Amino acid sequence: MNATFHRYVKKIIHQTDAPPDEKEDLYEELLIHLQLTFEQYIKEGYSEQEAERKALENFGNEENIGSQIQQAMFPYRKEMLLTLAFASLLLSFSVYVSQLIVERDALITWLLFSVGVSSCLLVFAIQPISFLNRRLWINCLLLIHLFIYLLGVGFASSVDSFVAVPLSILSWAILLLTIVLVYRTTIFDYQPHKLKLKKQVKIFHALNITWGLVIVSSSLFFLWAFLAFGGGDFTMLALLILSVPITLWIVTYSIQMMLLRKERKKTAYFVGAIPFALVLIYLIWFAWGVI
Amino acid sequence: MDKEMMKGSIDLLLMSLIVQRDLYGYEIIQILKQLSDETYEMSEGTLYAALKRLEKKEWLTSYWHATESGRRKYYHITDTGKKELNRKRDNWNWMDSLVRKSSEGLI
Repeated sequence: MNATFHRYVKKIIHQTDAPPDEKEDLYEELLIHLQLTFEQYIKEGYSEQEAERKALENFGNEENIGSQIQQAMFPYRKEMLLTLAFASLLLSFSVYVSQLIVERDALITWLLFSVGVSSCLLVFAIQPISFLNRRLWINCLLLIHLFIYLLGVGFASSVDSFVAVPLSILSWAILLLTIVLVYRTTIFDYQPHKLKLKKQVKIFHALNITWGLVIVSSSLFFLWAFLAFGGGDFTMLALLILSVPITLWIVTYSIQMMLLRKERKKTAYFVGAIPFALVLIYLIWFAWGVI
Repeated sequence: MDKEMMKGSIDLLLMSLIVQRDLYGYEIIQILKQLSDETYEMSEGTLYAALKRLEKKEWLTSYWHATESGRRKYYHITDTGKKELNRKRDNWNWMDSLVRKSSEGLI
């Protein structure tokens, strides 16, 4: 097939965040369309060059079409990411400046990290990077963002001035938007055609993300309690407190998704129940110990 | 045809065609051109964005089917799509009759 068409379609596909199998699908579909238009013009007596030019002209500007398709597949994704990035940058600089003015000192490390992660989000929002697995990258970035801005809530509320109130509100809003985006990116933005258990997949994602947020935040809380009150140094035990639950979560999450791909719903439910059961056992054991 | 107006009614147009039989993208363009006496002017790529949007809303589903001249991706209307089509048609008829009455009504 025609090399110009290949290049043109590739440019369109690059504008979208679709997962690889959907990209292939769209690639073939658009290419077939251009080829058919081309053949029709040849039949009508146009030269090859003319037919090619006319086929592309009818199809439209590739960047424009690409972003239309992206918007159709992931409505408001760009807008939400942009809002998050700008709000985060605003918060970072405001917290920094208020700290400087009020306390004559400010945390430059947090400023650097938070501005860094927000700028990455900004780049992702503006220009889809085609060679990366988008969902994975966006989600990782959002989780890092969540963690950094969780610290931000602390800094915002500890500024010793009336600005602490609006800054805190802004920082909570940012956290909320980040969590919403994690759910959206995972559950609603991608619906692989091949999965038969679409609904179940959504439910499992929703449960697992919620579970993950609970696990990560409670692990961080325990770690903090351990370091602050246990007088403990950052030892192996501390590392275990943090890593065991999170690893367990990641492992059971991936096993569930694998089982759903093989359409083994019951086993997936069973694996999903394991962490719940473990926590329950732990709580009972803990209560036993207290008594 | 006014492009803005076209954008607003593309969903209705596409679903009205696909409800009659499953169609693929190139076919849809040909039919629209023919029905509009070659005055259909929306860029063809926009059609695919619209199809994707309708598919995401689960009003359409798609499947690959082999024809004599190669593979084609066909679009099929779903039950929710049919309901939506009826709703859109009602809206359209309501608007149409209002426009008509408004053009004649003031005496």
